[in-house]
Amino acid sequence: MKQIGTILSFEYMGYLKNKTFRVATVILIAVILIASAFPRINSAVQSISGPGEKGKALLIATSAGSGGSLAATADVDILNEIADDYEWETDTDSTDPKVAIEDGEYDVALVFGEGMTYKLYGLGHNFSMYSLVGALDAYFTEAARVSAIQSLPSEVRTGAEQALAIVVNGEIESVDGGDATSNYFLSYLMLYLLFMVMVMYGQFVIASVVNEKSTKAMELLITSAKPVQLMFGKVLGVGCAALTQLLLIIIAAAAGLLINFQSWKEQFPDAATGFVSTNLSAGLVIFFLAFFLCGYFLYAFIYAALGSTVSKIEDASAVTTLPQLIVIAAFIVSMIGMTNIDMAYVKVLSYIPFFSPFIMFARLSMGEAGYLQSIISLALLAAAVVLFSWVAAKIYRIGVMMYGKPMRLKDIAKAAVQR
Amino acid sequence: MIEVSNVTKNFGETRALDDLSFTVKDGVAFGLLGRNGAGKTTCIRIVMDIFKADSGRISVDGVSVRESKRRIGYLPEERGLYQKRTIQEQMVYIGRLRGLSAQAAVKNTKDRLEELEATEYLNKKLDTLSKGNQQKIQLAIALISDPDIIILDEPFSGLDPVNASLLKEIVRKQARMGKTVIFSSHQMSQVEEFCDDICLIHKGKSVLEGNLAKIKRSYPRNTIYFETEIPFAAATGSDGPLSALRTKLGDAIKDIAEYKSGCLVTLASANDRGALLRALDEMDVVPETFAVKEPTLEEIFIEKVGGAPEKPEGEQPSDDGKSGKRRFGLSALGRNAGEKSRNAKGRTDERGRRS
Repeated sequence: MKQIGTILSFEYMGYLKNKTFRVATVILIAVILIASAFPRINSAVQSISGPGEKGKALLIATSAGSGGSLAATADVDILNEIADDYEWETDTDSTDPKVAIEDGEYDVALVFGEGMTYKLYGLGHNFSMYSLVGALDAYFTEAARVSAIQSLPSEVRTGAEQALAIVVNGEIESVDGGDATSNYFLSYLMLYLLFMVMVMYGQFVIASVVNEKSTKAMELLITSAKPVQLMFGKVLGVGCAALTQLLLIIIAAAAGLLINFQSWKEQFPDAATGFVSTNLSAGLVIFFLAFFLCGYFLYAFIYAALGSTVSKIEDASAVTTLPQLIVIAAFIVSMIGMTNIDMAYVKVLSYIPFFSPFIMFARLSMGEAGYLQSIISLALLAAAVVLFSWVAAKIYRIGVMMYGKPMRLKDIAKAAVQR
Repeated sequence: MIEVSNVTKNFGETRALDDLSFTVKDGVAFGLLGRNGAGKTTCIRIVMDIFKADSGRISVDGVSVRESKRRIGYLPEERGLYQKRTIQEQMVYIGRLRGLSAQAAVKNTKDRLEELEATEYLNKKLDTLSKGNQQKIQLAIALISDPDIIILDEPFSGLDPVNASLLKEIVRKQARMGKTVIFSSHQMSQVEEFCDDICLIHKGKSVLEGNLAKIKRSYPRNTIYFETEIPFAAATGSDGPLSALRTKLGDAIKDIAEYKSGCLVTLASANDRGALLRALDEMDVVPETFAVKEPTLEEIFIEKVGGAPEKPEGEQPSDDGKSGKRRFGLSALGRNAGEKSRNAKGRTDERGRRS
């Protein structure tokens, strides 16, 4: 244990003293702070540049009579109000809308058709055109209904107006107290953090092992401590460095969000609700840490064992492909699974060690799974960590003394089952 | 004491060590010698428990290396350290891994660097040091934990003459302190002067083991080097004296050649040394130096490893004058006096044997 402590602190201090690591941490914190201030920056940019340059829109006024009743509900003033991303102008129906757009004179052109139809012309790449049509639909539908009611005889008009005003509001009451929408934010945070840790710090573990081999420090090390101690110390050391960095990032993110919360609430109310509705209980925090740490160790041991089988950092990418594919698969499946958290396959995967840190935590935090299921999943995960640390230590022991060509899969398997 | 008993190790089809046995006593500098690929490093790695032997046993004071409480200092052949960490950090780290307390590790780091005249590198990063100086640091690390047993794999490779002699001094000092020192080398001339015991490995087998001085004494003592005030052959400016000596001694002389101010004579038997002295006396030649020329370690090495492998025990180094000159060449004459004085100390241990 003392040996592992010595190795851990040497590895950990190595990262803290490493310039690249420190610079990367500072950059990450800066990025997080900037991102957390996004609404503020967004409004600041808008206030400096003023309202963005508006597109030009053309309302083709048809000659009286044609164009149906829709034409009567819209004029340039109304359009400038309901679709204010555009500067609306009007012209007679002699203008060909296609020519006006192609010439670049206008960005969009509105032409009324027969009955309740209209056509919006524009270039295909004009992204705002697609939201414009939604806004216009909403307006014209409302206007058409109102005008239809106006034309009704007075005795039925009131009834129709009342019918139009009916709004139904349902309410959910969760029997078990869970809320699949409330901890979305936390579940996504876990997912991203774990993914980031697996991809980034997995590389740290590999680089650290390969470095000891390529600089030939390994022989001295394995005669000073047992390979398994070296492996544990290294994985823990990288883990501590990762936690330090993550803690700083989380603190920066939390501070940033707190400072900028008002701006978020004003500009992105949905996201703001997401932060607020995060329902943290002590149990959830403990499970978060337990799944996170077990997930890290599971992957880190695999990375360490595979790192020991190559001698040069150039060869490392070949052996890391497999665990990285598993990480990416687990990440994608979890992302999809979170929107269908009660699907059968999601339930099954939430018990499989490589996936469970991602998925079971999501199920738990969103109230889909209880503590008992989480404990079973966690126990399976912990058992996998123990098993893989044991196998990894065996591969490590053999691998670290192999120089030259990377070990073949056959050799790795042989090392894993050796006494 | 370290005992290597009947150790065999195979790597796939290749037999790296073949029933290898030797004993390393305390307080002795033990040289594990052999050509490149002879099995020296494999043997050391098995002693260090890096590799497992296929068969055989290694013990330290009667118990296995793992059970032994004695501290081992190790300089691997494949040596390297963290390029981006300071010397102090790495030395303290290894010291702590080898069981020192934090304070002791710091103190020993400073002491070892002082001994190696490398104190100025304490806070330097390894990659700012020259290769030779990195090697010094490696040696300092091998000695960081005040080990009882010191194992150095090819410690001289990469060292300049000044640092090589510094290393020799350190090895001698450690041996004098009663520690067990094992080192491997393929450069015989470099280790000859401070090996007490040797084991010569060839193709994984021990071909010669024992006390070096005894081994040397076990060779026939029939090659004599003598020096006169005026160069013997040049005294008359001709080949005369050499021929005269040859005539006087007849069959007792096998070969005679001049070298600098002296002469190298190979006699038929060591018993003819008196006859040689008498013949010189008769010729009114008074030798300033008259000594048996022992084989150098290099010559023994070449005989055992480079020569015919199947020589019967106790065979004369050479029956042929020419090849005798090659094997017991003139190049090693300078060391003769040193060997003589060591032999004169009267080591009577008979462990030195030829195989």
